[in-house]
Amino acid sequence: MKRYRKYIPVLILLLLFVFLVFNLNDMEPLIYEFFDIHLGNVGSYDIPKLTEQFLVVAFLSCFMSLVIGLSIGIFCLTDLGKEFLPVIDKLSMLMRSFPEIAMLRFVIPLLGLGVWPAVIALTVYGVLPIIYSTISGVNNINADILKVAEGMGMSKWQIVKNIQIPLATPVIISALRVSLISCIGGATLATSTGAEGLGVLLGAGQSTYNVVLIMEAAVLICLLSLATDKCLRILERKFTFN
Amino acid sequence: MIVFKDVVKSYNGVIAVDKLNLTIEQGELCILLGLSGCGKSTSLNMVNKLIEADSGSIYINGKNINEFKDEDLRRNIGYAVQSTALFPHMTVSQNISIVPKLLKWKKEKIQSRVEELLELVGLDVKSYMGKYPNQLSGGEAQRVGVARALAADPEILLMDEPFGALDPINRANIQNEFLRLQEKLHKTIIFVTHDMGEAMKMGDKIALMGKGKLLSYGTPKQLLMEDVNSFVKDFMGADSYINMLERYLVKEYVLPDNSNKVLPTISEKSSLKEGFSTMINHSVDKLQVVDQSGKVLGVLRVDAILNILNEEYVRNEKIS
Repeated sequence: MKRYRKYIPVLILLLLFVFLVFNLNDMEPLIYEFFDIHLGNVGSYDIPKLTEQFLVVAFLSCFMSLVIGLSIGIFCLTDLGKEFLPVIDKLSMLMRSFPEIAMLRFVIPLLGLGVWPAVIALTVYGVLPIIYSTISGVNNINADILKVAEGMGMSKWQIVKNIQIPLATPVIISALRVSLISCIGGATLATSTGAEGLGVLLGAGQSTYNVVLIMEAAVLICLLSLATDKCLRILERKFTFN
Repeated sequence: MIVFKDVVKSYNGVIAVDKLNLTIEQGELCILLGLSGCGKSTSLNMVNKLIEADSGSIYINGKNINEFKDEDLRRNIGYAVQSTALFPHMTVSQNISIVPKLLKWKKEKIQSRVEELLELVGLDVKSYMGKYPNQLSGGEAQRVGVARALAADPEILLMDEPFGALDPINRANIQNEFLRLQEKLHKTIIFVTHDMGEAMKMGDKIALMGKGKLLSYGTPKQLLMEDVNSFVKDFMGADSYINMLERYLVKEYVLPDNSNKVLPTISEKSSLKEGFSTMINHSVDKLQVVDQSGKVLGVLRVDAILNILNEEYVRNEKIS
């Protein structure tokens, strides 16, 4: 029983999230009674649908960040990639100083509107911590361990596969956490490229001074961020051995 | 048999190993001894090509190491280092089975080999197999390190200060166990250390190195008696004769006990050096020898120690 105790907070957060996604629409009249803001007719939004769009944008961009970030990171560790390391280093630093909302607007003239432009913009943003951590996670492995692995007769690729990647995993997962949180945050802005999602609620609430709509979106996004953060922390600990 | 022939290695113009010529016979434990930076670790790492020699060649059983593929060469040489460098994400049994797996042994064979090795190095098979390195003490980790080096039953072992990071008690234990193992296995071993006592105790031969050059090579006894090279003498130090006593075990010098006097006790497994220290500590000239269960076996007299020094190291008398 004790072994499973650490999963309880995640479970509570996720259950609460799911419950709210499917019941907020029905609860709205009740909430408006409580927050008595006389607005006349309030537009109605399909929260499950918006959440789905939101999740697609957030997780798709995070997944792409992971795949691309890992490949670039590993490429930087090969002999050929070492030449590119300073360039990638500087470039990623520059990208990080670019505001997320600017990045999202920037892709519209290039790629048009829709889900994919948003995903691509967020991927460009989320890929950076993963590249960094792959490189530093692998470079920080104890030199003796690599020497012994080589001395025991592992080939270069076997060392990468059996030693370097497993030992860099905790650092990479921790970067994945940062990247995922940044993608979730970024996905709220994805409305501006026409990817819709929970950002629609925020936008509508803002333009009509409707606190309830803003609150609904904010609570859901918060719960999702907290739950994913907790999940990945548990995963991170699972792969840490020192 | 390992032969170094005119081996040279330099780093950025600084010579680390200077025309090393050294022959290590089959089944011998050869100690590379010297101060740090004398080139002993470099020489060791050139045998499994972790470091490439600039010139000269190294032969294993008459074959130049460059004729082997790097990986094949390394898989057939056991390798252990000071920090143990056990892979932290693998269990003890996974750590030990790395080289057998690289050599594509069958699963059952690997499993039985792991069990055999854990028993060999004195660790309980059931409780240690699934442990991770961070759950082991320093001594236990080093035992696993030795087991890992022995995993594929290589003919040659390279050990780079393998017991350097242990406390004195653990260290003496593991040294004794390793010597016992070596009596059974007869591996050809290159063993790097900077510790005189360890060299005297473990080495069949000692190669004393300084500034990349081989200064002296021979059995510990030969080295002890040498007076040609003053560096050798300095390095051996004033306590070298006492260190020599590490090579003798108390149990071989037990005499029957006929007095009932109460004496300090010593275990039959200790070395004469420990025996001698105990005598000095208690200012007595004999000790009661007991076995592990505490049963009295007899006495150890200081005469036994003096006899060894007189008989084996005659030159000592001439000087004094």
